[in-house]
Amino acid sequence: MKRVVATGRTVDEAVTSALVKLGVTRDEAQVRVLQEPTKGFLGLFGGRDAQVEVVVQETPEQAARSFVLELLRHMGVTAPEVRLNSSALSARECVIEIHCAESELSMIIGRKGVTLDAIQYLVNVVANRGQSEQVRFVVDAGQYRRRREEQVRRIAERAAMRAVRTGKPVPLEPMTAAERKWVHVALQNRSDVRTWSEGVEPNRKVIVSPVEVASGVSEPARRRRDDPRRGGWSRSKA
Amino acid sequence: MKELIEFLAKSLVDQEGADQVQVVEERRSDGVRYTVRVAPGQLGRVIGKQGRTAKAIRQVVSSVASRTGDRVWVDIGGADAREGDE
Repeated sequence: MKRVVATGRTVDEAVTSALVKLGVTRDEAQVRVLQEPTKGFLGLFGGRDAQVEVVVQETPEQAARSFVLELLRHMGVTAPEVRLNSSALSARECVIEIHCAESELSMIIGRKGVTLDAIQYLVNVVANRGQSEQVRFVVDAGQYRRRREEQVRRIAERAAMRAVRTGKPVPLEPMTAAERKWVHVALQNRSDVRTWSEGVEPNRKVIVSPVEVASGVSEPARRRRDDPRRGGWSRSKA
Repeated sequence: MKELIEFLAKSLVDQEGADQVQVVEERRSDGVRYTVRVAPGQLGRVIGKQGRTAKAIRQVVSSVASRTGDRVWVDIGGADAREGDE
C-alpha cells in the first residue's frame, strides 16, 4: 500500500498533486479529504488549504515488482528487468526472475546464492506487509535456482549410491532449508536409503543413510522416519 | 551506497515512519560506516526476527561493496537507539 498526503488550494488540486506523486490515475486510488479548504478574510488572510490523503492498494505482486526493480537500480544494476511468473502449483506462490547483464549476475546471486536469498527474504517481508493474502516469492537470476536444484539432485543421487555401496551414512555439505528439501524429495521414493537433517543453521546438513537390510528390519523406511528415536525428518525441521 | 541503505530502511518501516529514516555516513581510515536510524518502535522492522532482516540488508550491501572493493559496516539503530528501544 502506498499512501500520500497532499495539500492544495482546492480539493481537486490536492488530489492531483498526490496522484502525480504516486504516479497513478484517479481510478486506481482511494481519496479521503482530511481538511476542506476555507477562505480567509476577503479570500486573502487566514485561509486554509485543502488536505487530502490518497491511498493506492497494491497487490503483493505489484509491490514486489517495484521493490525489486528499485532495489536493483540502487545496487547499481544497469537496466534491470524483472518477470513475474505465478507458480503452476499455487496462485499464492510467485517466481520473480531477474534479467540483467551477465557481468552483474554474480553480484546479485552472491556466493552460494546468499545475496539472492537475502533479496528474496526482503521481498517477502516488504511485499506482504499489510496484505490479507500472503504470496510466497521466489527470486531467481540467471536460472541460478534451477541449475542449483539440478546440482543438488545429482549430489543426492551420488550420495545415495555411495551410502548403499559402503553401507555407511553419507553426510552432505551444509545447505539451506530449500536445498535440503530438494534432497529429501529426490530420495524419498527410494527404499534403500533414508534421509534426515542434522546440525544447526547455517551448518545444517542432510544425512543420506542406507537402510540396514542386514539387521533384518522389514519395517518400511517410510514408517521408520517417524520413529522418535531416530529423529526422522518429518518430526524435525526439514 | 547511502541511497541503497536508505531505500531498504524506508521500504521496511511503516509509511508514517519513512520520513524519519536517517542514514549517517561516516568515513574511516579502513572503510565506511553507515548508521541507520528509524523512528522509535520501528526498529524491529529493520532488524526482524532474530536479526534476519538486518542480516539480509548487510548481505545486499556487502555484495555491492565487494564489487567496488570497499569495506562497509552497517549499524542498524545505532548503539544509543538500541539501548532506548529495549
